[in-house]
Amino acid sequence: MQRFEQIYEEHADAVRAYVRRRAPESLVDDVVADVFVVCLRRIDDVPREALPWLYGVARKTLANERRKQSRLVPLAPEVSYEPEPVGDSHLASAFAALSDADREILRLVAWEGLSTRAAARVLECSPVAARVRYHRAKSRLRARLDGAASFRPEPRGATE
Amino acid sequence: MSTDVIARLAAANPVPGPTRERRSVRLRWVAAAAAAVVAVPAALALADQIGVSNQGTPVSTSQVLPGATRLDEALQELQVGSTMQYLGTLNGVAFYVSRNASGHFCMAIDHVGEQYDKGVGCDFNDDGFPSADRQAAVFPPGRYLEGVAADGVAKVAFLDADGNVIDSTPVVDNLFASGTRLPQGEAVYVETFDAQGNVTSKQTLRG
Repeated sequence: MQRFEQIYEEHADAVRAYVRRRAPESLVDDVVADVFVVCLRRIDDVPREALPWLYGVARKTLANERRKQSRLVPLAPEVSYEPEPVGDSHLASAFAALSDADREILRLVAWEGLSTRAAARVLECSPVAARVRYHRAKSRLRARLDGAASFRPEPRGATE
Repeated sequence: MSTDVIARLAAANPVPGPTRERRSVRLRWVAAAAAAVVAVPAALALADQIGVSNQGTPVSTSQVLPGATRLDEALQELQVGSTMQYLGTLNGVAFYVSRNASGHFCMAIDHVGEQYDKGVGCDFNDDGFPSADRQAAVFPPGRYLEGVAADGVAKVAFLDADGNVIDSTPVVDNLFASGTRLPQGEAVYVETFDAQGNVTSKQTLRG
């Protein structure tokens, strides 16, 4: 119980922030609560560096919640809501155009402040895979931001 | 350039990172949602340990949130013991309390007749409820003004970050339940008042 209390004390705010960056407020309490119920139940499995593990549990809990909701109604708008970057509409548009996987690895690094190695633990992939995913996502975001400037019409016909 | 992209994204974080500052009083709960309530008498001198005048009636913990697997597991894992005290039902909310194996104050709530808004949690503060600084145990923190108040508390209120009262409700037999669901994060403080309207404590809710 003492270790659980220590984990809760150190990481509850970070877990709450993680969830709030990915879900509507109406889900935040329940998801955070579920994360720590899992933590309590599996306290012996929690690694010394607990935060990425907690994020991983939160990620699965959110996914389960979305699946559950989508079975009830065709993904209620509130549940499908995902907070977007604020104060930078150009960035928000570019970010929204990325795939879920790209957005998630970028969030983990830029918003949660994780290294790609720690992000790998959240995403349950190898550190190398996370690093590759991160660099590709970053490139795609940069390309989206550069947008019109980098756009080239597809060549038509042939010249010779 | 690549660093700029990440820095730009970081600057646009919709929920800036949690601060590490320690709050004067922290509510530390584990909660969940689901289930219903059946009260079954049992014998235990738990009532004396709760710390409020309303000592309620003992009920078997296994019957507090039957059918709610996650909550039932949470009750066990929080080590609340085999018995809880049913303190009563106010405004459609049933309250159960206990001291767990470590002596922490634990509470289960049930919005009777509702499928959701049920939960269980323990306050892990060293200076836990009831104490001079902790005169109200609110659960779930910040969402509803519901919970258990220390003896002598006549009213409780939620305040926003600027100190404005956004919800308040009288205390009846140590219980309070306003029934108003608030947006998460709006309530920042809980204030308690005595019968003369004097503020007796001001607690910071965790955010």
